Amino acid sequence: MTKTTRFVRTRAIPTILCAALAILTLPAAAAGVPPWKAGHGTREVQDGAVLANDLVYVQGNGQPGPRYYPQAAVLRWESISEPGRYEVTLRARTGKHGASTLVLQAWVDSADGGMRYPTGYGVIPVPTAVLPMSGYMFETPGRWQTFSLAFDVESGKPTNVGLVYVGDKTCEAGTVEVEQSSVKLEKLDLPVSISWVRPVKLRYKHAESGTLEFRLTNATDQPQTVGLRPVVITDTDQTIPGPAQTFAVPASATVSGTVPFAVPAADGGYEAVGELTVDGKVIDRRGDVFAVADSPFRCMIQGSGVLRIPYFLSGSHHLGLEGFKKTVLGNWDQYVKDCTLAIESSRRAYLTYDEFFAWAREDATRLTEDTDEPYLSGQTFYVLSRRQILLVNGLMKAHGIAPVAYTNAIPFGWPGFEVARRRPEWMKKAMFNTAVMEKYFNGETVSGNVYPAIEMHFDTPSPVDGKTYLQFHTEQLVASVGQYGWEAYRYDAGPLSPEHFPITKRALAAIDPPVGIGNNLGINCLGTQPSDDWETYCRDDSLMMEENLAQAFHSPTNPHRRWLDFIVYLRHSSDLARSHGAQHTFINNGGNWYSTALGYVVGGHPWTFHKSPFGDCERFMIQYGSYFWDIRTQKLADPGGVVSVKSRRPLWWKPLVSERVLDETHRQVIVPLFNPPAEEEVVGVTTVGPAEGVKVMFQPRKDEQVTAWLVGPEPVSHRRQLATEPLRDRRLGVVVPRFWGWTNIVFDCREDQSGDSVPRTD
Amino acid sequence: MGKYSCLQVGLLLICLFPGADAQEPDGPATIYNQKHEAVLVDGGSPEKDKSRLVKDAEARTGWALLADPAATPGEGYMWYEYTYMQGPGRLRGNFRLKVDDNTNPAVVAMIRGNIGNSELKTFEDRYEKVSLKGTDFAKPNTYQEFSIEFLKGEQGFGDWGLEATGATKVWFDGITVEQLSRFSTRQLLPLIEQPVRPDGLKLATDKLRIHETYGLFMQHWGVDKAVGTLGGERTQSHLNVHPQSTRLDGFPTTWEALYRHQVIVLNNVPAKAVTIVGTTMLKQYVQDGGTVVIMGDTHGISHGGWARSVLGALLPVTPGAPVRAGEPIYLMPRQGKPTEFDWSQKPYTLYSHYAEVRPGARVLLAAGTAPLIVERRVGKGRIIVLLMSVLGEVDADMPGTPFWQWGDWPELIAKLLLSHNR
Repeated sequence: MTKTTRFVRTRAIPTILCAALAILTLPAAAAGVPPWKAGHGTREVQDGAVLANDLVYVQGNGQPGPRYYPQAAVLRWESISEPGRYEVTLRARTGKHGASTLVLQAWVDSADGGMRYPTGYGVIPVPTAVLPMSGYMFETPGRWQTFSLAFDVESGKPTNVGLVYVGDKTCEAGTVEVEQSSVKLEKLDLPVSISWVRPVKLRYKHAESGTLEFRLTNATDQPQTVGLRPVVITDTDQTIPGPAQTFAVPASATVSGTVPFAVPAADGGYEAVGELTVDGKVIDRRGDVFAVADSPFRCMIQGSGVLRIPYFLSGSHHLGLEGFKKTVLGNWDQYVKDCTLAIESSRRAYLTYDEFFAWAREDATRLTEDTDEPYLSGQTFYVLSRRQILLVNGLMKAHGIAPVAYTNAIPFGWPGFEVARRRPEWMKKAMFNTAVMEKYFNGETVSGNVYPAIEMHFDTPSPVDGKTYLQFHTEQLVASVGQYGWEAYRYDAGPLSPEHFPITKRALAAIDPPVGIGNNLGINCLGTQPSDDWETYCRDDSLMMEENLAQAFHSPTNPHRRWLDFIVYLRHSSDLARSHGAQHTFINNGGNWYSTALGYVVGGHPWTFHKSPFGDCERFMIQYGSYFWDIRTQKLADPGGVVSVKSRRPLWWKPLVSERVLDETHRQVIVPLFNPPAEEEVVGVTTVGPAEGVKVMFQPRKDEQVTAWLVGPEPVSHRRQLATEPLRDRRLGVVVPRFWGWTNIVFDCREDQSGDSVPRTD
Repeated sequence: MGKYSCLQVGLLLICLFPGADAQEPDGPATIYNQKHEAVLVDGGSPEKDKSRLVKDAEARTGWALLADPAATPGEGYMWYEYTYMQGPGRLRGNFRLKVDDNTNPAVVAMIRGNIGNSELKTFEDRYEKVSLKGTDFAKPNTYQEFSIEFLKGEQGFGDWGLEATGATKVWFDGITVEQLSRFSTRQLLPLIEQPVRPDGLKLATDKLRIHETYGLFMQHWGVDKAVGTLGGERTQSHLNVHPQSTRLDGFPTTWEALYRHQVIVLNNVPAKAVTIVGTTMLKQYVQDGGTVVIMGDTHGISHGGWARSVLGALLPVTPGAPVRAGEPIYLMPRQGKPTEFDWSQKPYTLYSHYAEVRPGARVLLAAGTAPLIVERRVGKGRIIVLLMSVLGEVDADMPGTPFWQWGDWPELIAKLLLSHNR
């Protein structure tokens, strides 16, 4: 029997704390713990000893959406009111492995102040603590496994807890069974707990000050005085403690607070942890991850949370100008609340980056507004307002999410013709349809491919003042940063030429803080071989987008349709960008969790991510992304020469191996391991079973001392040392623990100063 | 109408017409007319169903598309592409291919080309497809050119394709397209379907109807306001400029629809959009008493190719390049004589089209020796060309008012539209 425990968003609580967390074995009623009840679909079997639920999805209640339906409880407790930390434990088993959205979770009803996501498919409560119990969390089908979840009940927030199913289809893992006698809910003997904590921002820039915000809950009927010390933990487990501060927590109360911490000097991923102390002794420890980088591309995770920002960009198109005035500007207070919640959901999905597609009145020539009056975006007829963008950008930046502006070097919007009219020397030629133009200037919304394209002379001085179009365009970008606070621009179909790109890049870099610049220039535009153009567009941390690869998911005849071809292309595409100094992204809208994770391991930033069923890869990348995103990590030229992998079933690894050179005496060889799906084509993600008994062999260089690390997202982000076995020919080997989808072996190699030529391992 | 009968023409303007510092803007190229165009396979060329991008030292860019029956058996496309640079006339497309087996008597590839969105009435004129056998190649593994020829009219674009049959390996490194000859209007017209003018058709007189093309910046010209002051009816068509098709959506294309209008205002549209058939009809329309007004900025009399159109010989001016004045050109009444217009607002234009007035034409408005509005009577009707432009950056410190913002501008336009009744 195995035991799976989760304390939401924290590391495992160190053994040293166990004494302080001794479980009270009081009767439930004495501890204020209510009894549990079985859900509607749950039946008793084996003479009542076992509860069983088939987890059959039944569409209903007028909410036919594909993603969510009201949560059906396998079993749940009545809400708990007494503040403190609790732990629920149960033993369960499933008939087989398989995907499932079964979770053990705690939540607060909205009437009691709980957060809820109003989706198009119904309102879903946001858990305060959650432990996934998908079929992949069970190590062996048919065998009992213990699951436990610790959660906090805050003062005035009665909390529900239960085993619930939130899926939209019947569980692939079959029936779940729960041993009745194992079901326990206990209050822990912890006088004060950190009931919520996280760094204020998900991404900090170096010049910023870090802040850890938290809530403390007093589980006793006496006031308590506690210390709270922020500790930053690096991705190599080094700790950077900050000064502790003292807080008074009234009896049975929950209080909020913040403590500052120093933002680390190095780019990378970290965890900010609050250590709660009483009389100098740590009684609780809890935190969340964050990244540090000045460039928004360095730790870019682009996608969306559960909620999209309401009436924003494509979501506003149907309103029209008048509808927007009424629905958004005329209902502003509610709109602010809705946006706040939506961006909170993005934060919880670990998004660090959000680009606004075709948001401007005109993509190249009109990126500022004089008033808050709604306008139509010139390319797409979306309805926006300065006030709305300022709100959204402000909310994002408060979370450390970078708002990024889509742009083009040439006008793709109707207001661009006004620039051409005023300065006709700049206009080269144009494509347009004045039937659409008329509607634009009449304030009517139009759908479809409705934008003009105006090619410009970039270097022709205007007779008015000698200004070139390139100067004008760059001034627009700079002014828009001043108005909206963009952290980067990304050029799309209308790129700057290699001659002009560095000029604009310099202008954006000179802004305080500097503003990044990206392109939509992949292999299809710049070719398959390194070149001066690759160098020009990439160097100094640009972002390079690969768009063609997306066709693999949509076209059955695409040459990259097979996973193996896809991987080779993806790797090459990323290598071209990264070897020239850029971060890499690729369109992943049609993709899946495999394409997402493959994108991560080649150092890329998939353009929209797809959640893995086996672990939170986005949280993992925030914490451990430096192994892949650090620009010192580059493709290893001949991985087969130094690495070999033994596995019963072939894994994907060879084209994915990278080397990270930290200095002359220190390098890391990163060996990603993917357990492929059943299908050869990229649209297939069927799991065939866990990868077990995998061995990875590595040949270090002479005089290198090697430590092997297991670094992966499944089932929760982790980094732990692996035992290495010396092999013949100066090689060493590691045995990889079982994994379902993706894990990584990192061979950390340091030059051995001892002069001993025999490879040594830790 | 009496108010409009005293239109003062030949207004004296301060002449600041093209100076040495004037710069010629490179306007939109709506007609390319390139004699040669090469579309070569390179490292970024898209692969098709039956082709894969491969390096090939013998290919012109070092890259070729390869159809390999061992990898992708069967028939299918290995390449297709569009070209836009050719004018009306005979085109030739030269495909460069090689095969690994030139002893195979079977068809190994098919090359084809046609004009998409063509106005030519006979399909065979604008389409050709040739099947290539293995034995058509002189040597194995050696590039050889194969050509197809067909006709292009004023409209449309080249649509080229290459299919492999799977009989043998085929490499392809691109095509070159040549313009072998150019059509005159006389040569082209018989190839195009034309509506037959009904016998006895006359211009409508029941109501003032004016058709205006919606070109870029149309709203600045104020024709709609002018028509409004006249109580007339205004119809409009929209200009759609695209490499695959430049056209006017909603332009009267039947004789009856055209003759319902007393005035056709071609506001900032190229002749190509009206089409050779449309301009031929307009020529007759003017002969029969209609008025055609040509104005515009980026697609008007100069860049719109009107001098080369069917109407070219009838125009009141020979247009040159558009120019920008170093300073505003002020519109002022001749010798300071009072008119019904408020000249104190100092209306001006910043850009205008250079043009030479043709014999028989009448200058209605000029800036010194430079004409701005010129009229020519043709048959029972007339053609009026406006040579000023709404282009330019208005400086708030500049004395005066841009003519298109001048309060009396719509009335002046109204007077022009009605002056055929004088």
